[in-house]
Amino acid sequence: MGNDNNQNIVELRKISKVYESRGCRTDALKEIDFTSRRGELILLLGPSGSGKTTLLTIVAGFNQPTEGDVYLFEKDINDYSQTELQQLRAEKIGFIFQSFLLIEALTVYENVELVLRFSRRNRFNSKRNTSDALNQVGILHLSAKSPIELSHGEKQRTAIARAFVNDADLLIADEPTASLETKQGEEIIRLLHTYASEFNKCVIVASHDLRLKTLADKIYYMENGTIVHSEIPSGRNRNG
Amino acid sequence: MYVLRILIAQPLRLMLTLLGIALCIILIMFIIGIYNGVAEGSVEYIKKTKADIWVLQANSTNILRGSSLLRAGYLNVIKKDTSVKSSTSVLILLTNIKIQKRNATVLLTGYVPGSEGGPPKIIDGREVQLNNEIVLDKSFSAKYDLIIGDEILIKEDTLIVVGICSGTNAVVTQYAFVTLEYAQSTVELPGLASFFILNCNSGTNLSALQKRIEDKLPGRFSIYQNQKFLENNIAEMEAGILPLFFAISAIGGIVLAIILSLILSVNILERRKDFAVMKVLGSPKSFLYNLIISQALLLALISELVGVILFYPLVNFIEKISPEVNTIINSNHLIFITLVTCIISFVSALFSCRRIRKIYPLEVFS
Repeated sequence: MGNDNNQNIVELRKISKVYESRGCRTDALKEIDFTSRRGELILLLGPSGSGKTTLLTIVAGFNQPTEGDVYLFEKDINDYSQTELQQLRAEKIGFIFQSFLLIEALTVYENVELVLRFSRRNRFNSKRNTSDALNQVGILHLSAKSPIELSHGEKQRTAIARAFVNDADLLIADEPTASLETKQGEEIIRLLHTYASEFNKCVIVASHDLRLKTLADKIYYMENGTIVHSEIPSGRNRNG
Repeated sequence: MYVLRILIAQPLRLMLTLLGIALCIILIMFIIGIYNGVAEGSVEYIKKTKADIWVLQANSTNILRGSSLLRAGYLNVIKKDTSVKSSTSVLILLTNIKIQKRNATVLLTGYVPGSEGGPPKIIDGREVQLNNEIVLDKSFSAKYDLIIGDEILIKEDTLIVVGICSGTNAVVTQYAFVTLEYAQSTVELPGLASFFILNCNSGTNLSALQKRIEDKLPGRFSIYQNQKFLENNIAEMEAGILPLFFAISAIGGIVLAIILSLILSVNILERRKDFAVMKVLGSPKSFLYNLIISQALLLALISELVGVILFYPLVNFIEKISPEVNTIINSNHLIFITLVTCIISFVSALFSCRRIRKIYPLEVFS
């Protein structure tokens, strides 16, 4: 698993997800095919309830599809043990959420550094890596602050630093700009784009924020659990 | 770090939690202290009495919970044995005494002044010399505000307090020492004794002496060497009070475990999202369990410190109100309590850890 641009980070084949409750059947996802590679920023665009978040939870291995196959780093997700999946999340996957989900009892620095404690590989040089990640998103000066003292934009930058700190190959972002004002949202979008393009990482963003279209490498439009349309914005066909 | 941050995030709750756990620890310390106090008070008299052989009425095993009544004249027969260097009679009676208009009960112990069987340690004044003198236990005299020179009444007799002794507080009652002659006069049976204390010449075969005494007056005595007699009394004391103290300590321990489990569970519920986030970010189970266990141990250890700091002033206060309460806690007891507290905390944490299993990473996805 080198940094080969053609490596499939995520591959979904004919994924369906059905929720059944008290005899009521809901098709959350229907026969989704989806591939993402290094260096790509993938945008899942669609209204609430279109299945974007369900798709992300399946990609991260938190949710099992009813049908279909999921490949993560070119390996069937069913072939990973729970411990391997946990290690994978600690070392190779970063997460960003709409509501930031920072731990308020910890400082900005500790929130970011916490992820490194989960990883066997990244535990060393944690001080340097944490400072680098905070510097990368421009909030090193806020290290000692508590998350409750931060603006929404600063909170999201902290969450992004937390996702960057383990040098994740796959970054999963669920509505990362939804709680932000326009300017802050644009800055976050640029950070994610830079992470994908300059560091050759795969970023999957679920959003209904149309501003993200300008920087996405692939866009999947979702509605009622299906991908109704996909497009590669002009001039971004890097991976063929 | 995270553990500490979680705890200090809500200072008022932390204080109440620490106080609650500290009170449980104080309760356990108090019970252990009381037990040690009773243990010392009950058997100190026997420990400090220099005796090779104790002779009691047949079928008696101890002096704590049982009467032993002997004819004092038997001692004349026993002491004829050439290996007996010295011997004395002691009479112990549960007696009512009057202090001004108040009544109290003491373990009135009559002994021959200058012989064995008297107070284990005089801390003020002197031993009795005359029949109208009495030596009181320290706690008893403190409880009834008696000092040397004060007078008390037994029946119609006035006795003067001439000494204060220690190691004679059995909590339920206290020893008081008078002359053997006076003790015998209170029951109007001049030839009565509870037991005889024998000291032997060096090199005496004590088992053989026991046998000889039994042979001389068969079926009349229970004869014990000092160590065995001490063990009998300790066993009797433990049989009488240990189950009670054990039950109270166990209740304290259970309350401690419940408080800790509740606090930890509430913390887990309040931090549910944090735990879910950590699971999403790839936290191993061991990391999360470690957080809970560390939190429990930290709470317990800080509470123990608070408990120890509060214990001594509290006990001083209690002992002022009820001087017969005698607590003894030493460093070994503190180590024991710390270990017990840590074990209880660990078990409570393990119970609380079960809640973490029911927190799902999917909870954080919108």
